[in-house]
Parts: sequence; C-alpha cells; structure tokens
Amino acid sequence: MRPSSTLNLSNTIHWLPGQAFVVQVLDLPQELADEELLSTVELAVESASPLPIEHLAWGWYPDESARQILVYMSTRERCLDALQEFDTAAHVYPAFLSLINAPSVEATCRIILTAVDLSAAYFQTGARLPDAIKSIRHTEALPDQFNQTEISEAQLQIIRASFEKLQTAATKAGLPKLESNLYYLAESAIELDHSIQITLARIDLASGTCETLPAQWIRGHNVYHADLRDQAFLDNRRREDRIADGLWTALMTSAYTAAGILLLFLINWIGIFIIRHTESTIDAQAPAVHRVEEKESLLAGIELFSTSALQPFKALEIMNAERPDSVYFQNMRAGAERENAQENFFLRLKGIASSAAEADNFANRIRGNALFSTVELSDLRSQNNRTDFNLFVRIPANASESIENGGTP
Amino acid sequence: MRPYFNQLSLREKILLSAFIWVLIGIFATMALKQSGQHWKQWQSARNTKQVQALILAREANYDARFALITQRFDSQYTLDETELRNRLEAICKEVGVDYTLTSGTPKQEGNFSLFEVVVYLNRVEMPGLLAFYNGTLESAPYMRLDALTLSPGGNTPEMLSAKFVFKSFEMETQPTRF
Repeated sequence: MRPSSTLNLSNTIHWLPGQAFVVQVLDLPQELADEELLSTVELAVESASPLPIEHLAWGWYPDESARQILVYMSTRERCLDALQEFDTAAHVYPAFLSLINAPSVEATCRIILTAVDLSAAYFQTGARLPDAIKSIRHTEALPDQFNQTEISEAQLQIIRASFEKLQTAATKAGLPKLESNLYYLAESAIELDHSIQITLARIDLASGTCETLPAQWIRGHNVYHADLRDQAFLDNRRREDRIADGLWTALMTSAYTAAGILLLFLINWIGIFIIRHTESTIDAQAPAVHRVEEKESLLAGIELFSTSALQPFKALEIMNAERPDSVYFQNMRAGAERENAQENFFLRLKGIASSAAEADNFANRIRGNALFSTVELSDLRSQNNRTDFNLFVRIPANASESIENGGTP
Repeated sequence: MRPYFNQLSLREKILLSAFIWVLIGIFATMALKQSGQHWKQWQSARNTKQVQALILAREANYDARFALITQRFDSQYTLDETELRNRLEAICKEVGVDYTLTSGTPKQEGNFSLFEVVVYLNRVEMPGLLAFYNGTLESAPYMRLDALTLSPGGNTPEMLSAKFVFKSFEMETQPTRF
C-alpha cells in the first residue's frame, strides 16, 4: 500500500521494458478542454483493457501540436514483476518513451535496447508519437549498464540475435522492415525543475560502437502524466514536489537571510570599533572640555563684575528711598537667575505696610524706576491696621553700572 | 546543494528548513538586539562628541573675553580672598555693625581666581545697611554683591539680619595663559 502523505521516494528513474505494454494513439477533439483530458484517457484505458483500471499501470504522453496522445498500459502485476521499486522510484516510465523526440521527416522505426528486450517504435511521417510498439525479449539478459563507447562482442551477438527475432516478428505482424536506428538509454536524470533529462546513445550494430546523442527532456505536467503509477499517487507526488520547491525557495531565502545576518554582525562588529574609538576620543577630550566648562563658569562670574557689581545693593537703596516711613522690609532675598543666556538679578521682599493702598502706592513708585524690568506686588493680607505684602522685582544685568573701559575703585 | 536537498524525504526537508529558520530567528533576534544597543550607544557617543565639539569651539571666544577683561580691569586693584575679607571687615567696623565673615571655596582658571566671602550682619537697621553699601561702593567693580538676604533680626520691624555674598577676583597680568 502506498503511503498517501509522505512519499519515501528515491531519485531513481526506472525505465520498464516495452514488451509489457500495449500502446494506443488517441486523436483528441479540438473542443476537448484540458480538465476533461484525464477522464478521456481513463475512459480509453478502461475500454482498451479487459481488466479494471485499478489493476493497470498506465500513462500517457501528449503531442499538443497534433492534438494526439499516446496512451500506454500494462498490468500492475507485470510491472511489479519487472520492477520491485515500482512504488519507491522517483518516476517509472516505459523505455520506449525515451524515443519520443523530434517529429520524423519520414516514416521511421526507432529501436530502444534495454537489459531484457528490444522495443521497436514505429512513427508515421511527421508524427511525434509512435503508432505501434513491437518488443522481443533477449535470449540472455544484458547488464544494466553498457560501456559508453564500445559493446562487447558477446553482448553484440545477443543484441543481433534479438534484432533478427524482432525483424521476423515485425514482418509477421505486417510492420515495416526494421531500420538500424538502435539506441540505448545512456543516462536519465531529474533536473532541478523536475523535468527529466534523457540522453540516448546510438549503437552501430556492425562495429559495436556507441555514439552519445544530445539530451532531450520530458517537461512540465508530462513528467507526471507519463508516469505509470496511479493518479492519486502522482497527484500526491506532484503536491510534494511543489512543497519541496517551496521549501527549497525557503532554504535559499534563509541562505540570503543568513548572509544578511552575517553582514549585520559584521556591521555590529565594525560599529563596536567605531563606538569605542568615539568613546576614547570623548574620554581624551573630557579634561579639555571640563577646563572649558570651568572657564565658562569663571568667566560668567567675573564678567558680572563689569556689568552689575552691586546691583542688588543699588536696588535696595532705591527701594529704601521710595519707602514711606510706615513701610518696613521684614524679609528680603536677592540673587541671580539666568534667562536666555543673560544674568538677571531679582529681589524677593516681604514687607509690612499700614494699609493695602500704601503697599500698592509703594509698588507703583518702584515701577516708575527704569532700573527694574519687573515689579510684582502679591499676597496682600490686612489685619489690625497692618498689611503684609510680597514684592518681587527683577533687574536686568545690563541695566546700569556697566564698566566699559576699566574701573578704578 | 539542490541534488543533496532532493535526496531528502519531505519530512527531512521540512525539519531541515524549520531548524534553519529557527536558527535564523535566534541569530536575527540577537543581531537586531545588538544593533539596537549599538545604535543607541553610537547616538549617545555622537551627541556627547558633538556637545564636546561645541564646548571646545567656544574656548577661543572665552579666551578673547578673558583678554578683554584683562584690558578692562587693572590688576593692581583686584582683590584676593584675604584682601576682600580685610576690606569688608574694615567697612563693617567703620559702619559699626555686628558682623561675622566666612569664606567660600575659591575657583581658579588660568590667570584668574574667583573668591567668595559671606558677611552676616546681625541686628542692623536700614540706615546701617545702606552705610555698609556705600562702603562697598568704593571697591566696585572689583568687589561684587552676588546675593543678599534680609530677615527680621530683632523685636522691632526696623531691626534686620542680613546675609551678603560678596565676590572678588584676582587677575595676574603676566604671563597671560589660560
């Protein structure tokens, strides 16, 4: 029983002797759709054989230009006898299928030699498909592999004897005289695209020499149609071939991806060197940078000497001058703040006034002084003839007291 | 390689592909993670280097500004820490206020040194404060008031406590080196 899910197939192509087969060439109607082709062939096989189709090993090969197909069939029993690896081979074809190549210019006969028989395939003028096959078994089996250049005399004698027997049988069957177009299958292989490469060698019966001919191919769906195994098996085979193709593509993609990852690792490796180099540069520059930062800080401090040496004091003086007698400064904090790279001074003052109006009046007086850019009165709280208030004033660093050209205390 | 691949059964092909893709997944994750880390490190290092370059580029400007300061100020009037303390102490005594002096950490760069002295005045009224200010005016701009804090300093609102942060700098004219 053949496994249906996973086929354990070898890569070997088996070519069965032609003597086991019955062939038939079918003319296809022009209107026959491709989907109907298989059922048409099955019908032809069933009608040509007294046995149920399940007992047959059959296949077909189309000549699409001539709208013809070659149907060949044998019993599974005979095929199994001839080939134990029937279910495990990559493909099983009748040997005479290797003779199907270019159309014949004139009616011809081509003979294929196998280890057990000689099969003559008769082609009509211009036909690609043989319309008759005649086979004769050797008196003694030949080795499976011949010497590619020369056949031994003993083997030649066996082949000549079979050739004569085949000639006699063909004449009896009313077939034309045999020509010495004798070939043997030198090599067959499955290509990467699943097509079958066939290399024939022509045997010169007189000299016993062999001449290898250019390779031919069975391609596309014909690779499966021509196979002798049943349709379900071949469908499974085809499906698995498709999956294998996908897996191969995935494998190739993985190879490119792996190359990309390697490249990424290489880039990372180079990146580490660049980062380390940059970091070492940063470390080397760090003391100089620190020195410049120190210089900046010191410079900012010293430059203030020339722009605003005693501004907080001056502000306090002005505010004191504007202060009514009943207003007291209770708490004050002066300092500097940076805004847009400019040093500003500020004073936050907490004071006491006799009334809110007096505090407001005091703030208005200060606002009138050009030294202050901001004057904000807030948190006014009145209680028992006493009003607490907060005052915030801002003095720009360049407001006054600028020493342009030296200074003498 | 393809002929070898074709020799394998479908199950082996699937297992081989799955194994290879799992390996690729693992290594791709590693490589991408590593790349991400390196990218962050590189960006950080590049930014630091750019900031350093900006800071270093300012040095010439700072040197020029230091040179300008050297021209503007007369080095014989600049005050070191002791001179600043003495000057402030003298002013406090002259004004007649209760005082305390403390010194901050000096800063030095090239020919310049920056000093800080904190003056605490206890229980002082506003006229006393202003007298103290007038005393410091004589030393301006070689003495600078950096911060001022007033707080209540007695039983009456007029009495205050004050904290002044004064700064001075010392400048050596020869040799001019930063």
